[in-house]
This record gives sequence, C-alpha cells and structure tokens, in this order.
Amino acid sequence: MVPTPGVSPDALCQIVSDRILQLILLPTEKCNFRCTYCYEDFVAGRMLPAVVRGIKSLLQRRVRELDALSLSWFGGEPLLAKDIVLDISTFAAELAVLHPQLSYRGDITTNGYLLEPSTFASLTKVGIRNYQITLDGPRELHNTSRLSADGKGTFDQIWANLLAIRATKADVRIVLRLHLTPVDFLSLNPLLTAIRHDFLSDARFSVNFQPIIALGGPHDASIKHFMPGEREAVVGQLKRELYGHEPIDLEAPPYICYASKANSLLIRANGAIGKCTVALYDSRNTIGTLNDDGDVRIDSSRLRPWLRGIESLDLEELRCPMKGFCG
Amino acid sequence: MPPTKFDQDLPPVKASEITIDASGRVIVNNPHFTDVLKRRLAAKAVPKDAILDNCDCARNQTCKPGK
Repeated sequence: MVPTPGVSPDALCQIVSDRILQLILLPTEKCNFRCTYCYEDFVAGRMLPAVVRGIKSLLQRRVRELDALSLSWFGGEPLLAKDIVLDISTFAAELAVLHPQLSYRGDITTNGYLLEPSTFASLTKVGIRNYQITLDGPRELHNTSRLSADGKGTFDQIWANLLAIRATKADVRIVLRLHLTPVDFLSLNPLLTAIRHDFLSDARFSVNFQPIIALGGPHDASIKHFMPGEREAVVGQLKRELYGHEPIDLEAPPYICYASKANSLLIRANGAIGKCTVALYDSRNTIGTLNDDGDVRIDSSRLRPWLRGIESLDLEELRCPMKGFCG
Repeated sequence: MPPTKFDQDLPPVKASEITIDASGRVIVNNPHFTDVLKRRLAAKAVPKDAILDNCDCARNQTCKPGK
C-alpha cells in the first residue's frame, strides 16, 4: 500500500510562523459580472477608507519582523476598486524596498475584463505577479454564463486582454482557470485549440481545469455535478486534448487551504476579518475586525475551529476546514 | 480520514494553543513547539521564496473560485 503523504515540518512551520503573513483582501465586493453560478450577493461595496488605513498600519507595524508577505486580491471584482489595489500594493512594495529581508508578492483573482494593458502594467509594477483568470469555454459558451452585469458577453474583451499580456515581457504567471460542467465539457475543444495556439508556447501561461460547483448561490439547484471519479477522467481527457498528452504531475505536497493557515487572514471591505473566501455569508466566517490603527481583534473561540487541522494533521481538515465545521 | 503520521521533531500543537495578537501575529502558547519552530526558522529550514512560489495560485490548486 502506498502510504498517504503527510504534512511536512516545513509546511507546518509555514502555516504557523509569525514571520509570514498572507492577507486576502476584498477591495470591493461589487462585481461587473453576473456569472450564472456565482455565490456572492454583491451587497458590500468598496473597502472603507478606514480599512485601507488599517491595512497599511498593520503592514507598517509588522514589516520589520516579516520574512514573507503575500497580498491576495479577491472580491467581488477587485479591479472595480483598482485605486485601492494600487494604493495598498504600492505601500507594500515600498515597504519591501525599505526592508530587504522581506519577500513580497501579490496575486489577484480577476475576471480579466478590466485588465487592459495600462492596468496590467500598473499592477505588475507594484508586485502583482500571479493572475487567475477564468473562462467558461469558447466564446459562445462562455458568453452564456459569464455575463456582464448588463447582460452582455465578456469573452472577446478578456481574450484581447490576455493577448495583450502575452505581448509583454512582464515576469508574471497567468493561470487560465477553465470551468467544466458534465454537460458542457465536450464543447471546450475550440477553446483548447485556441489556447494551444495562442498561449501554450509561453511558459508564463498555464491552465487549471475546475468543475463548476454549488457554493451557496441562488442557482445552486441547477448546477450539475460530476459523478465520483468522472471529473478526474474528464480532466485527463481534456489535458490530452490540450497538450497532446497527459502531463505527468510531479508529486505535490498535500494542499493546505489558506483558511487552515494561522497566518492567513481574509479582510473584507467593511473591515471584518474572516478565513474563507467562499463562506462569505456564514457567521462562523467572521472571526474578528480590523481597526483603522491596524489593531487586529480576533475572537479566539471563533478562530479555533479553522485551525483544527493543525492539531489533527488530518489532510481533509487542512484541505477544507469548512467541511465538518462545528465551531 | 485518520490523523496523518507525524514523524518529525515538531511536537504536536493544539488549536486552542494558537491565537492571533493585536498585530495579527500568530502566537503559539506551547513553549516546546515554539522553541523548535524558531530553531527551524532560524536555520532557514523554510525558504521564504518557496513559501511564495507555493502560493495557492501558483500551484494551480486554489480553491478560490474564479472571478
């Protein structure tokens, strides 16, 4: 029997170290898209100025003792609040220059619609190097589910922005997240051909196949899920179609969700502190608040259930602490 | 799934021993654990670039849904 890989000492050090800090920031919870499967309600708006001040104060307070700082931009659509993204990222990048012991990097999960060349250049300049951009299929398919808020298709603008990124020499990594459903995966071929033609020869681009799953949105009942084992077979088939063969996956360490990490905090637009980017409307995902002076107020009894995987070393709990959550 | 075998010099730590202070700093109220942790960090057993290179996004394993 092949032993189940466990959690390495390095991995455990990384998720409890006080010399590492990951902040997942929601500069706005509004979105310019209305994807048909989305779980967010878009009620909260732009990040409050007091929260922006609080984040900067927190970074200023911690920078001398940090080895690594990761700012992960999420939303809503973060580029609807581009000024906030640039403001805080610029602040962090300047701190990193003043404190050379600090490795700082930013990443962003964006729908890509507003990622035109000038915005992309501004983001890379302030250290945002990892991008996750989602497509739901070739133009016709994508435009049925990833709609703009005014109901229009979004594929052409995103694709144009991706081509513009390819034309730069920016040191970035672009993950194209391709969504699948049991119904639509057979229609992905034209998109795979286009990606192979336009992006696969550029090592900065990679593809991540992910099924659409029900995450608590109003249309969850209509989302069709893969049967057990079916997803792996479909992804393998799509990889063969994309690459001409199924790439050999190097053995990766077990995945640990950011929500399981003691040194990773989600800061919402209103200053509420949470852990998970999916369970945004679950009260158990509010563990504290950030004050405008940078003070972090965490309720330890609310934090504890998220960290139980560190105690149990159970890979399922570390992979998704929300599962089986009883705090 | 049963707990994973923990064959290393880091002693076990309880979730109740982990708190976050007013500066967002992780505090582990377990002297044995923190001693070993500090020793490993001081010895650069945890390369900081690897931390960033292994970010969820770079590993293509993010569970952050696509925006």
